[in-house]
Amino acid sequence: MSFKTVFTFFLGFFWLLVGSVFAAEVNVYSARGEDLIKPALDQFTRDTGITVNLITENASALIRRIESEGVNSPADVLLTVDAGRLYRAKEADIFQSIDSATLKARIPVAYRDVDDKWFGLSLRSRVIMYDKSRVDASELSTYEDLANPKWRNEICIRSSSNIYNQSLLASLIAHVGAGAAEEWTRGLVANLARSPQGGDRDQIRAAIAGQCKLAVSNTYYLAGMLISDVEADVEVAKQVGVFFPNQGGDNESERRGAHMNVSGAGVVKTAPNKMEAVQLLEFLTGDFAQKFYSEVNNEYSVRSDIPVSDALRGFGDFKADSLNLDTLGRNNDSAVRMADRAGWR
Amino acid sequence: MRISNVSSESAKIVRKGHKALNPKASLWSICVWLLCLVIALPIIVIFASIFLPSEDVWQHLIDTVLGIYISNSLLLMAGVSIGVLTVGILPAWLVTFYRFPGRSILEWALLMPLAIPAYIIAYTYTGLLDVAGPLQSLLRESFDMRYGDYWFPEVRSLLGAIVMLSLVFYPYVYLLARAAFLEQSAAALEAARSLGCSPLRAFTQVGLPLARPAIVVGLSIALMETLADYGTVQYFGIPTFTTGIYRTFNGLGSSVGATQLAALLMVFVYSYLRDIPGGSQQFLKLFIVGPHQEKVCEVVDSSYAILFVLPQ
Repeated sequence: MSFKTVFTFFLGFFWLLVGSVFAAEVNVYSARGEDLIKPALDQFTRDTGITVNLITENASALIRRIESEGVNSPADVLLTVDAGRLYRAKEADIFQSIDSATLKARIPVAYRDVDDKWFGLSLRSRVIMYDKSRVDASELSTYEDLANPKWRNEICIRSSSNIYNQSLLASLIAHVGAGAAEEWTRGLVANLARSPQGGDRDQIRAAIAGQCKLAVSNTYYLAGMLISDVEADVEVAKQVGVFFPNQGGDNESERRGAHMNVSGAGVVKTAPNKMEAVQLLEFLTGDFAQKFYSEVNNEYSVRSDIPVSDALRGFGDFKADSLNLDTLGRNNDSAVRMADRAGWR
Repeated sequence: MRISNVSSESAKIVRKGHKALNPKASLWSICVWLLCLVIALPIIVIFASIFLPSEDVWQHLIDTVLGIYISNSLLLMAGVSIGVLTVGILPAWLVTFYRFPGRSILEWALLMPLAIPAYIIAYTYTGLLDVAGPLQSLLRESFDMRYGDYWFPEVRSLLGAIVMLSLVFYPYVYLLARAAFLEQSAAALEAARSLGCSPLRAFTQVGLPLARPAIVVGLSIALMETLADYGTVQYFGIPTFTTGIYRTFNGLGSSVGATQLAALLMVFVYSYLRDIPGGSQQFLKLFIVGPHQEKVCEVVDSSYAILFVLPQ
């Protein structure tokens, strides 16, 4: 080996070493399915040259991990798909306040933390879906009505271990009080067509198969089925009606609006790359990412100037519940215990 | 605690074995101790959680779901026992003692399910047999029926989970039963037959009892896997210990409570292992031969016990 070869080799090695230490990067701990965020992150890298290192896990495990990593945590950003988990992360004191005019301008107050510790990035509503051939929309009214005995053996809903159901129950506790919410849970359990199983899509499929008349699901699941490559799913989805509950009625609670949840993110307190982390959050509220959330994932944008996807537009306009999303996190524990007591698996 | 027993036992054995070479043999002891510590670390952490205060989570669990977790886990174990014993022993007996077309393929093909995670099978069967699946849809369309007009077994149920787990875990029993059958002297069986036993009776009275220790070991592994399974029971919506641990951590946000649930499961598994009838050491002696057979078997057996507990 000539001196030149050896020299080139070492130079190359040194360059790599320096590159890996000093290259701009941001470490994202994400509870979001990788395929639902990776394309946006890749675009961020193309735009800025900042490398994104992504770890995907469930939110509780990620929060616990950041806590136990302490000051040595490489985490810069924590992404979750539920406001309750963002609240839990805030309570665990792993977020720092971010003072960003861009974020404040783009995200409505209702969908970000009062202390600027977390920011909502996309919205979804949890609604009642029904078999159009057997149910008329006029029979539906509120979430509370799901406990009405007239729906005995006609409701499909997934397990209460699922965070979306915990947040829905948490919102009910906030609106109607713990006592009424517990009674509601018992009524709901009595109305179940089958013991909870599978995901939201499975509830929709079961409703169309005739096992139940109503299914509770997040909006993007049905929208995803409508534009699916799987023909059977499209066939099923076409037969489903979407009902946004609590749109009108005699009292405040009955017209509070449909239950909303966010996917969102915060910057970790000990973030080694804070600047890049803030840059990423701003990117995720930018045009490209918001359109990605809207068009590819069929979520509602946090920004009013981003159009909703075709599939979502078909569901119609609705009034959204303006409940402070912190409440979902604050009531999460009570909701899980309530579900345990009522026998909601 | 068992762990320290194991390490001191093994250390003792190692010391004895090397007495002539080096009276101290301290390097070996240290290595063994370190290895044991690494293996035992998660167990120690989980076990230690018992001594932590657990807020009010336990009272809540006892009042509401703990009984369901326990009864479902036990029912699952009982069902899977029947399943894996049936699907494991019979084919093992047939491929060992009978000649039939396809036998040489079956011999190894019967092991294949071990390579498939239980929840994958669960997903597959659910997709096929579920109320919205192709089979039931076809039924409804062809006979112009609605859901409820016909009877169809519910895939996502305790029974469904038992079938899924049995289909995946039976190779443990098959593998060990077959090894035991292969080791059996044909003379014993021939004697039984010449004394007037039917093939069935030779199997039940001679072949099966001789293979019992091996089968018990296979069954134990299958049951450990059953208790450790999360994917299938979660997908089927059956509350068991594993889903309960996850819910306690994830839903109730109590990592201490979740770890203590895991510790309870561990204690249960450990007390079960201590009482394995027949003893697994006899079985190990089939594989381990040589001057130190007795001692080596003892060590392997003890560390085996730890390995069982690990995945919990």
